[in-house]
Amino acid sequence: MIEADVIVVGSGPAGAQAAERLCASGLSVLMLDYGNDAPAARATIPAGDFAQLRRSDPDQRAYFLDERFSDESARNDRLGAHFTAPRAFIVRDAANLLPLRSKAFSPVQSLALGGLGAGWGAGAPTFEPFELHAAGLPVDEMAYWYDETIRAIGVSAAPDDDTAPYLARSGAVQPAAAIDENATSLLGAYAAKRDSMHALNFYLGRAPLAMLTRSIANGVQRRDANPYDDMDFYGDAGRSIYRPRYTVEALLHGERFTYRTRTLVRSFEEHERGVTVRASESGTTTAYRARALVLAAGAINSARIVLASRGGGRTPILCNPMSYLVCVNRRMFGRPANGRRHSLAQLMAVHMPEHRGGERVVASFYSYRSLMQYRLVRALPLPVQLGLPAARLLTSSLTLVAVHHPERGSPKKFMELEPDGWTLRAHYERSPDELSAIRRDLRSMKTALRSFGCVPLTALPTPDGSSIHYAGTLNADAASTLTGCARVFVADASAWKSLPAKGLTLTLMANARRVAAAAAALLGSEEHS
Amino acid sequence: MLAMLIDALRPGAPAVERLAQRETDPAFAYAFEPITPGPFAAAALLLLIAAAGAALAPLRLLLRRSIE
Repeated sequence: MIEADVIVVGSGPAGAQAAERLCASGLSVLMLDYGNDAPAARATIPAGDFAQLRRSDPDQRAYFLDERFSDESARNDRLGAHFTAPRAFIVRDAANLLPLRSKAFSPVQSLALGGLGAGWGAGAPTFEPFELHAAGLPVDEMAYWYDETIRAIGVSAAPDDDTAPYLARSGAVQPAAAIDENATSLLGAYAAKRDSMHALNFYLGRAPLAMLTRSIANGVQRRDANPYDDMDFYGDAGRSIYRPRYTVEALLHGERFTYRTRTLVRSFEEHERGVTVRASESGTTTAYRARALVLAAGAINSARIVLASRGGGRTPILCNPMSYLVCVNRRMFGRPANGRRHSLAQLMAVHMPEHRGGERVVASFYSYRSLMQYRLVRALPLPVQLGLPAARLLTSSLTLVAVHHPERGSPKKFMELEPDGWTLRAHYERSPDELSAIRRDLRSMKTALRSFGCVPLTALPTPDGSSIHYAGTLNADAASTLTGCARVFVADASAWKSLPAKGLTLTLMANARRVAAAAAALLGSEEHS
Repeated sequence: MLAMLIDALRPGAPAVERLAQRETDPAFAYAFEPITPGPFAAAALLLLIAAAGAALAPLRLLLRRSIE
């Protein structure tokens, strides 16, 4: 029995956008998803800005800290990790249900409604043509899909900033978000030295963000402009920052879309006129049939499903290396920090170190305000009595610069299925040349930062896998169907051949729409034949 | 060895937990708010940071070599 025209696996950025495009094409869509969510945790967050809630709300522990906070979480919670208490659901159950063993690779997986997009930092750069080409994406088609996606989710950007040619190539945007004093002073210092910064191949501008600066409404949903309450790491006030959940909820108002939760897709089998998908639900296995299947479970889990369907094997894996540079902005010493701000990346820099031969190294600049002082104190090599005053003194000027490095595949980066048929084992090893390039990126970036008064204090490398940018695990043909299949489409980043040093989520969504259109074209041509 | 030494200087998990519990009590909110240093405190802090950076540089180099 055919359950739907198309089954979409996963509700993350790719799955939600693919489903929307398929429904818009007149097809019926069944989305299979585990669908963890935390509406109760969201409901604990009252209206108000960060500073005001800190001073007044006796129940703030529930969302700032969470009841399960313990010695263990104090030890493991890393500076820069943004899965705060109301977002803990994003990684719930993933370690048990999506097992992955590795000595050196620590990816983040999600079984949440909205996938990892439920905690997306909303950085929304576009890829440049050479980056699309290297990833194996059709350069001439992507401009259209970027525009459609940007109109659908709402992206704010500054088209006149120096970084726009590298990060914001689409014109269909909302006005850029207001930036805080820290970012304003950094951007001003950069502008005063623009020529010498350009001589260093360093460009700075406001971050393109999937965040509304003007309210929008469609037939079934309203989303408001960001309230600048500095609570963006905790809640989604006014739905100003795009979450895939909003798309799923909007689709549920239509007749063509069915959303099935607590469903873990295990394998699929393609037939002449359709696909059968097997999923576990509450300990039993259920089969679903459709005319086509769209894989959007994320590069790691889509690969797991494909390997499980094929009885084993090995796949490559790509993941951007990432480092944090902890910096102080010396112009902010003696200046108070304004509370009216958003918590996301304020600025983005594009740097082209000479040794990279034109490849970009991209950095996002965060001001440290609403991530709580105890996390900063823990990172300082000082006892609490000294660490807390130091942290309070540093807060206004502290700037976290998250540096992403380009990623290329290698035979020493792969995953394979273990004999149990579900557990993945990952081997991830960077070559000496790659490690050297990353060190040189950081040295070059530090020199550029110092040039306009953003003084690096220390570099914090992150474990391999923690950038949450995964790709390259599967092969697809030009029509975006999985190699060897005619009805199985790959909508996530599994089929990308490289990862530029940029946030990939916007491109992921634009490409998912493109892939969905290809699936719709296939099914449409069958109806007419 | 050096990494262990630097780690030993960091506050222990129980101390961090106590701090976090206190930070989320509105009665103590004032004790966690950013301090705006005056020009002298700012200069002293900058000097301290620069000195700490200079002092740590050879240690970092040593650490990097020991890892490699």
